[in-house]
This record gives sequence, C-alpha cells and structure tokens, in this order.
Amino acid sequence: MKEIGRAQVEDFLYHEAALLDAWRLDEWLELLTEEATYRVPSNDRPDSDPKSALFTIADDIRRIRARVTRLKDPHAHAESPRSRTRRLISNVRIVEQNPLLVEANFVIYRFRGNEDVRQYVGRYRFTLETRDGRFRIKSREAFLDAMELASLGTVSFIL
Amino acid sequence: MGWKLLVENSFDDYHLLTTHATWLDYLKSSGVEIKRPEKGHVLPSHGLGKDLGNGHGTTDNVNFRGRPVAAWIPIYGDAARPELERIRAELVQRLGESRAKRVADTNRNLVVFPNLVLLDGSSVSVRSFQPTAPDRMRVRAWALGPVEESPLARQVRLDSFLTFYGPGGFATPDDIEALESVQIGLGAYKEVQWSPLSRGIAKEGEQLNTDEAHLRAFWVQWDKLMRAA
Repeated sequence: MKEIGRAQVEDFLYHEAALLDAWRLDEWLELLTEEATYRVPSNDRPDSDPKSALFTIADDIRRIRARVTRLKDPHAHAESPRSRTRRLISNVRIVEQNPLLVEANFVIYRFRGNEDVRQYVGRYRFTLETRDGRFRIKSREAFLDAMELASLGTVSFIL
Repeated sequence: MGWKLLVENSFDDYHLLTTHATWLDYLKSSGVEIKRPEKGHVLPSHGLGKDLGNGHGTTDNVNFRGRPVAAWIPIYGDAARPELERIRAELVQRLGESRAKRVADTNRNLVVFPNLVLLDGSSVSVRSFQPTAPDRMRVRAWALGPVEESPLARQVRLDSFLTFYGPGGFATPDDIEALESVQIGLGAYKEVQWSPLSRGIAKEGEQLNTDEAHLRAFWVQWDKLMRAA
C-alpha cells in the first residue's frame, strides 16, 4: 500500500476546517464514517475513556448527527445567532500509517455578537480511513490547552 | 443580578420548553415519549415548586426524561436495560416499593441558599458559583455518582450527563446564553426597574415547578439579609 503523505492529510484537514467555519454542517457530516466519534476530553485526564470519566463532549455518530440537527435549529440559543469562527490548523503530523493517525495543532478564533474574541487553542487527534481514494473520519478528538473553560464559556459550536 | 440569575435558572422549570426546545426535540427523536401537558400544566408531568425556608427551595417532579439511576429511556441503549432493571430491583428490596419509586421516578433541582445547587435531572450534578464582579461569576460543577456503581451504570450516568449538562451539552449552553442575554438586558434597569416573578402568586396551596413561589422565597431571603447588612 502506498504511504499517505502529509500534504494529502493537510488538504483534508483544511477542507474540514473550511466546512466547519462556513457552518456547512451537512457536508461536514459526509466526511464521517458510520461509526465516527467526536470527543473533547477533560484536559487533566486527556487519555481517559468516556465510559468511566466525565468528558466535555463524548459523541457517537448518533449524537454527532443530533448535535448538527440542534445546531441548525434557531432554538439552539447558544448558537443563534451563530458563532463566527476562524480555525488555523498547523503542525500536522502523521503519527501512524495504519491505522492512519494524524495530529495537528489548532487555534479557533470565535466571535459572536459584539463579544470580544474567544480563543480556543489546542491539539487535534484524528483517526482517518481511506476508501475509494478519499479520507473519512473515524474519530476526532480536540484537546483544549486551557486549564478551565472560564471565559471561553461553552463549546457549543463544533471544535 | 449576576450569580442570582443562575440561582433562578437552576431551579426554575418554566424555562424548560423554550430555552431547551432543542433538547426536548432530541429526546423525542431518540424515542422518549413526551406526553402533552395536562390541564393547568406547562410540562409533560406534574411537578411542584417548594419553598424550604430560609431561602432554600426545590422542585419535586414526576420524572418524564429518564433517570440513569433506574428509569430507562432509549438514549441509554438496549444493553443498559437489564442493568437499570437490576438497580431498580435492588432499590425496591432495600428501600421498599414507595421509596424506590421516589428514587427512580421523581427528579428535583435543589437550591441550598445562596449558591449551592443539586441538579438531580439527566444525571446528578452539584454546582456552586462565586461572583467575581457584578456581572461575572465563576461556576464549578461536579458529576456525582455512587462509588459502588457498576461500569455499565457509570457509563450510562456519564453519557446521560452529557446529553444535558456541561459546556458541550445539549442544554447548558442555552442556559448560559439566556443568562448572558438577560444580564445585558438588565443594563436597562433605570428604565425598566422590575423583573417580574409573579407566577402562582395568587394561588392558594400547591405551587407548581413552573410557578415561582420557590424563586420568590430565594429573593425574599436575599432581600432580608441585604437590608439587615
């Protein structure tokens, strides 16, 4: 099997980031596999299992879809009006080829209403699957560096 | 009003339908039966608001939203069903039928005056908050569970917690949005001097969880202490 190169993975991550920043959430869902998970662990126990430790977010694919349904609903007050986000992704590394494990750093600038900017800084860990020459996300984890959310408030948008 | 808005929010049930409409939709679309409210009710089940004296208060509700302790809903998954039945049987054996029903089939949000809250809803969460400025506070919250719970029961409890509570839950972020919006609105206090809390004020006897007698009791106690200061 041909090795996956960093540039290919970067293209994919940039594409995902663009969809999320544009709130093209249905198209974003199509990047996920049927068993995909989305997790934001508590940062003092980043390698915990959500079965035994409290996470900030621990979605299976059904909960991810429900989250998107919610985010598109004008009654999701926390995101109505929506956050305006701009995510910068860098330091992309392929950690393992098989399964394809990718890490990257992120900074997400979030603006909403007339609020000051809120900065979400952290690290992504993705497990990707390649099928028909395209990547699909099996798992995506976002590890925030902030010790506590405090002034960040909520993670009501998708990190 | 700052932190006192979170007190109101923590044991007021009237806001559930509007603030948490998307959470209720999530329950429905996951197969949880949400009945139409009975006459005189706002919510799908009967619930009381209780003034416990000295500013303390609680809701006391017939549960309709599932309870990880022993009231299964489809969100918990089929695999969890026998475990919740086992826990319920143990409750009945240890506490008797009626006390077990109280544990498994009722839920409540309790305020210990002034700033400690026990949320016994989608899971048990303990919440405490300290003002850091007139319009800012620091909120800390914990998930509370039995030490002896089985791995499966713990999984259900933590998962259920995340459906509602926390900064990434399907409900708490909307509460925060409401608190922040109201706080901004209160900036107009010179023009609008009252925040009415009059639901149920003309009623004799029973006060519903969607009435505001228990909220008024908090404010009366706060007012009493502030005047004495």
